[in-house]
Order: sequence, then structure tokens, then C-alpha cells
Amino acid sequence: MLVGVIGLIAFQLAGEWLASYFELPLPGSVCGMFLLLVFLLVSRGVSDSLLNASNKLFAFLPMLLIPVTVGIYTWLPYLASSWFEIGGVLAISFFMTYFIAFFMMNKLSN
Amino acid sequence: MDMTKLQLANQVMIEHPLFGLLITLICFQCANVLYNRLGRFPVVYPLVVAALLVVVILELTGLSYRRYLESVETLNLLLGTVTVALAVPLYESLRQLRTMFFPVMLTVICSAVSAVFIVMVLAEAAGLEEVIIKSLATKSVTTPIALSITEDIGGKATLAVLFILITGLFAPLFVPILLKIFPAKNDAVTGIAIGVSAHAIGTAKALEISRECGAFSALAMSLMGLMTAFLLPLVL
Repeated sequence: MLVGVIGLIAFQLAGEWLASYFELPLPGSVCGMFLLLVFLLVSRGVSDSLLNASNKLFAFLPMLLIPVTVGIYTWLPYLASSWFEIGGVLAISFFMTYFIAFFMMNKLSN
Repeated sequence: MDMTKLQLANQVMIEHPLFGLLITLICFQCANVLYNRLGRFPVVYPLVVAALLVVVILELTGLSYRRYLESVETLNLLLGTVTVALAVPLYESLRQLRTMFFPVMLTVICSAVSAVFIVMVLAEAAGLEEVIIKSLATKSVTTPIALSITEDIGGKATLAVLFILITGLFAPLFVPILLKIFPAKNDAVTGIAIGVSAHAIGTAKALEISRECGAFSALAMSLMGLMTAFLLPLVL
């Protein structure tokens, strides 16, 4: 598993380098993801170590999002006056975006 | 004398970098246990419950949010590592993606255009402030990409983070109900719909449904971020 973790972090850093060097409007981690994808396509397979490391990380994804989620509560007072409008706008646009993608995919995929 | 010694030791413990990490781990564990006990009931989605518990602990200990964030910086770094790791399930579902390349691309492009358009028209109609409208524009985009766009178009990164999080949280709260009312043809459909509408938080939910669903969600999330990054500077 350690080899897998090393690989993931190495690809992440390589992505950061690439994004910075070519001034891409993308975060380095997304570039790293595409680099790893290309690597997997070329090497035609996922090693057990990499599979193990990525599965372990996915299990902890919600935990990694806790710190930013906590931030919501520190911003609540600022939005007190337009809370209702913002909530409504976010809810309606979430459902519309979801349904547009959902029904398009349900129609187009076989 | 003994009292101040006690207070000092408490202060040292609370401000220790490990304190933030420890409470995050404990709160996540508690939230997970609760979630599993209640039969994976979406209202007690672990992320929401755990974050609430952390807020309560921060209030009780008097640790500021800024200090807390500093102490859990490692978790933010690992968030990027998870993004990289998503290449693994994506690679595994690539055989299916090949036959669905056209539908997926078409869906993501339409979603990116409509997501930005819908949210800005609605916000304008609701009479929200300019800075809020601009911060809302990136609400369907994964946080790292969104933050780099928001400041460029005149929004506030902090507000954008909040709107992105709220949008993301709609997925674990409503997708299970939506899927019961409107069943998906396969997990790819669900994954794409979640990925374009609810980015990384949605992807965490999609991974819970299946690895394939998570892979498509991650793909849709990445493409959505790309499209929006190119689209938004043109519109505004």
C-alpha cells in the first residue's frame, strides 16, 4: 500500500508542477488525476498497492471534507438577511442541473 | 496557583496541532456509528453530523475556526490526493465510457452551460447582491477549480466555498429520494447527474452507491470544472 500512496502523492505533485508551468486554469490535483489516468492507460493495469491505497482514501473522503464544512457555521451571520433567497436559488438550481443531466443521460445512454 | 496551571495545560492541549485532528477523527467516527445505527438514514449523513459536532467542540473549547483549519491542513492536502486517486475507478470503468463518450460529453456541456445560466438568472431575479450572484456562479464546481475562477470574476472565495458546500450537501440529502422516484437506467447515469450537480461531496455519495457510480461522478465533476473554467470568464 505504501507504494500506492507514494505513487498518488508523486502524481499529485507532478500535476501541481504541470499546472503551474503551463499556467493551466485547473487545480494541480486534477492534472495529477489525468496524468495517473494516462499512466494507467499506457501500463494497462492497476497494481494491488495502488488499488488498496485509493480504496482506503475513498473511505475517508467525507472525513477530509469536515474542516471546510465546519466553515459554513462561521459564515451564517453574514447571510442572515438573504438566507431564504440564497437557499431557494441554490436548491432550485441544484435540482434543475441534476434533472437536466439525469434525463439527458437516461435518454442518451443505452 | 494550581488552577492557573490547569488552565495553562488545557490551553496547551487545545492549541496543539493534534487537537484539531483528534476531534475531527472522533467526530467522524461518532457520526459514522450514528449513520450505521440509523440504517444509513440520509438526514444524519456523517459529514453534516461530524461538522456539527466539531462546531460544538470549537464553541466549548474556545478554539477559533482559523486555528482549527491550520491544525487540519493535512486533511486538505489529502483532498487533492483523493482527486488523483479517482483516476483508478475512472480507468476501470473506461471500457463502458468508450461506448458512452458522446452522451457523457453532450450531457456535461449542456449541464455546465445551464448550471451557470440558471443560478445567475435566479439570483438576479431574487434581487441578491452583485457579489453574492458572482460567488454563486461556481456553486456546481469542485472547490479548487471554483476558487481560482471566483476571484477572477469578482466574487468572494469564502462565499463561494459556502455555496459550493451547500450545493454539495443537497446530493447526500436528496439523491437517495430522487433515485426512488426516478430510477436510473444504470449507475453511470446516476454518477454523471451527481457529478455535474454536486462535485466532490456528491462524488463521496456516489462512491457509496458503487465504485462505477463514483468514477462517473468524478469524471463529470472534472469535466464540469473544466467547462465552467473556460465558460465563466467569457460570460462575465
